Amino acid sequence: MALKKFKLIANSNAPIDGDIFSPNNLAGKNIPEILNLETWLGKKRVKVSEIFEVTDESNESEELTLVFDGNITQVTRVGKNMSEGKIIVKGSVGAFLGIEMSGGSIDVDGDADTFVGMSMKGGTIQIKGNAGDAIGSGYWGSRTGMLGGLIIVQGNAGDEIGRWMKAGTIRICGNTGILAGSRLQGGSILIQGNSEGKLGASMVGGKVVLLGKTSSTFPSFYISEIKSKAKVDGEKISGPFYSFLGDIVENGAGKLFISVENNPDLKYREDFIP
Amino acid sequence: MTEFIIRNGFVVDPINNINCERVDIAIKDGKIVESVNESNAKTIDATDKLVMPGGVDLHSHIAGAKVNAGRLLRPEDHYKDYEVKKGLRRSGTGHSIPSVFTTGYRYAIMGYTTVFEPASPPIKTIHTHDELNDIPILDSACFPLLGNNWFIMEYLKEDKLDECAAYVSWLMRTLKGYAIKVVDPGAVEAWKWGGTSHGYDDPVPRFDITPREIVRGLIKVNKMLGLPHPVHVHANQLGKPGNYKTTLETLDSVRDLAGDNGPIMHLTHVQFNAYAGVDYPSISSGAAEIADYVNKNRHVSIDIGQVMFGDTTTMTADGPFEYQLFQLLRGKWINNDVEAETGSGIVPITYNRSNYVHAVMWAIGLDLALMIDDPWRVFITTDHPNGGPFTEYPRLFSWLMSKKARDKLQKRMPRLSRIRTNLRNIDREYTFYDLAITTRAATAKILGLKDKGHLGAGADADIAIYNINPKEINTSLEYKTIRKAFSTTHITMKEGTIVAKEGEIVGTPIGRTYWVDSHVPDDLHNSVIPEIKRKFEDYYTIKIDNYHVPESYLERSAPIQPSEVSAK
Repeated sequence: MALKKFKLIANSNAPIDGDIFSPNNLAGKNIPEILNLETWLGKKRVKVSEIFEVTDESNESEELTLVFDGNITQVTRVGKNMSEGKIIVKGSVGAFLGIEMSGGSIDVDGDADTFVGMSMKGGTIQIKGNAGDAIGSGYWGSRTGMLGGLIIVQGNAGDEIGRWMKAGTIRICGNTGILAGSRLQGGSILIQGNSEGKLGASMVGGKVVLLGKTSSTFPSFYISEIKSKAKVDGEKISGPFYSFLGDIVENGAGKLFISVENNPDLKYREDFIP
Repeated sequence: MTEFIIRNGFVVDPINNINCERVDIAIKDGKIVESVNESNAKTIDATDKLVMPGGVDLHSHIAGAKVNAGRLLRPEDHYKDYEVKKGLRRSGTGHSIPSVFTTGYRYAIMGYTTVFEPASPPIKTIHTHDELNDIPILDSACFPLLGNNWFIMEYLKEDKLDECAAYVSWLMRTLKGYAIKVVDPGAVEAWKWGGTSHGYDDPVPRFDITPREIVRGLIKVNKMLGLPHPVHVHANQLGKPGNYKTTLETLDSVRDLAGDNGPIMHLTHVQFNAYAGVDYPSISSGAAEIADYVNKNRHVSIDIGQVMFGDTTTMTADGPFEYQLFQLLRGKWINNDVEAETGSGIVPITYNRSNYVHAVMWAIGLDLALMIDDPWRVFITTDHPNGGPFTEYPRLFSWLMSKKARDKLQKRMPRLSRIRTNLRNIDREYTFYDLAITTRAATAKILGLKDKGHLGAGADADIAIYNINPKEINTSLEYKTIRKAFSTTHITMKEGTIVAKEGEIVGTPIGRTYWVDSHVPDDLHNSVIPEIKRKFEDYYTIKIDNYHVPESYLERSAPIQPSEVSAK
């Protein structure tokens, strides 16, 4: 199939509604047809030709690939509802990347904003830079978080990762803010850096693994044992870890693995291991 | 004002006994007239289309503090369902709780022109009027909640009916209210003091009065004041399996008060009050018993409160029920104690076709609509947004008009839910005439609106023209056509202005706000007012002057005189 290259030429910094930019939506369309599509620039209805330069390049891949050249931080909802194909962003991207996607993959070379992979059902999102708040969570107030798929962030991430998440995996290579895995129902979150605390608030299922340091843990989690390894997506990660169960205010059975080595101030809780 | 003449449409107008006949309708100065000068009049061609009076919905929570709180509680209800500005139409969001402007537009596009807000806590009525002012196109009114009001309970306990009538009359005038609404009488107050399950004859703590006495007392007051609408009752034990007995008790408790002038009590969203069984796993339909009672007794009218599958928000002044629903669903919720008056709560819910209880609830609503023979006393509502958003009405109409449509859906529901309800055995299908009665003519009549719900000379020119030929369509087979036709009118006209055309909003006149200018004799009024003022100082945290809604506050005030003042 083909590879379509997009270059942002908009002369305004107003937000652009990017939900037309998904391989599903653009499959089978030629360049003039794509340039003729309409979207929002701020409160103005514009044609794609007014905000993007689009070029066609063929490649050997069978899937349609969309490549965005440069930063597109003003474009939101890129890859909404996509189920196949590939999106590559050679720069940073705006909020709501890959929401409700069910397949395919998205690669971002720069940073991403909030709500990456909101309520996504499948597929892969990879961010080389940092990402904002609420990765893999549901929209504000919604009780449907991430339902499957994989999100990898090489840099740091913000608060409330995986809120209401039910399945799938989130891997953060850097540090995270507060409330990672709040209201977690299932699935797993791996944080390789440090956390600002409040891990797994009100979680009832699933797994949060923290390799770095956390500044606080909730008293509503009880420590069950020290485990030498934790499993994320079939991959064994060596610890040792304090294994917490909770959140007991919600009668939860979620699991919290916190590195023993990086959290010496949790040592007093070893006395409570049954 | 432009004059119009609507030609060649098939008119359905039950109040004037017109059933699918070709009648031309003449319109002048916002009213329907016998004839107009044909050379000046604009002609609207309605050939092979269905012409009905504008729809009248008597129970739909479209405005007030609870609706606004629901919007705040549910951002996820808004981000998927939005409309952008287009011509006269303002932008808006919301699915089960749309924003005010969107509410007006969506109703108008479906052919509804009059919608009443049925629950407004007196102290928050000024907020209700704020939102009613903002809703374009629709004529509306609000019903103050009086079933758990401290003043009322005290007056009725001491058997001071005259004073109670004077107080209610003062409230209607002060708050610009329209009718008496009773929600879970006594039980909300009992729950606030820590009581749990509350039967029809259990006394309310600290007031020592039973729900039975409150309902009977208010019905007597309603008669004395001659208010246009009967007492609007949300019965006790709502949502509990086995509650159909309480509903029958409520209906029967006022039978001796009945007069000759039609219903004295309107029992609302009865679907939620028609459950047999002892717990949720054994829940079944009690609709047959209630339908039987309504068929045999003329003093009561009901609306069904149909459940529609999908995501919606429940909001009611019935605080105890919302507490139980929250215990069941464990989601987010709001609960509020309205001082000295009532309670309220909001809980989001998703009705699911494969859920046994929801499937039974769905069938009970249709049971009621189809088993009550007199369409003048059973009205079609979804208790928006409790059973489902009002935008689902066309789907509901198609189930009423086509056995095939409801059977097809019911086959995909749990088997037990089919066995434990009556729907599978009912062959009745609504005609367009029946539908016009239950959604327009009868609702206008029960609300006491003489200018609504019909197309005779003198009526308001509220007209809905639908893209459907009632003579040619086979309603029992072509249910999808019905859905499509009723979801978007060809033309909706409000008081002689075309407001919607094929789904586009082309006019946004300001709707009226009806209220009852109720009065009692001066000496009675003068004797009661000092007492009200004194008690108000004791009971409320606000000053009585802040309680008033001045007439100038209403965008377009439409006072109605009560039929007869018979207070002694």
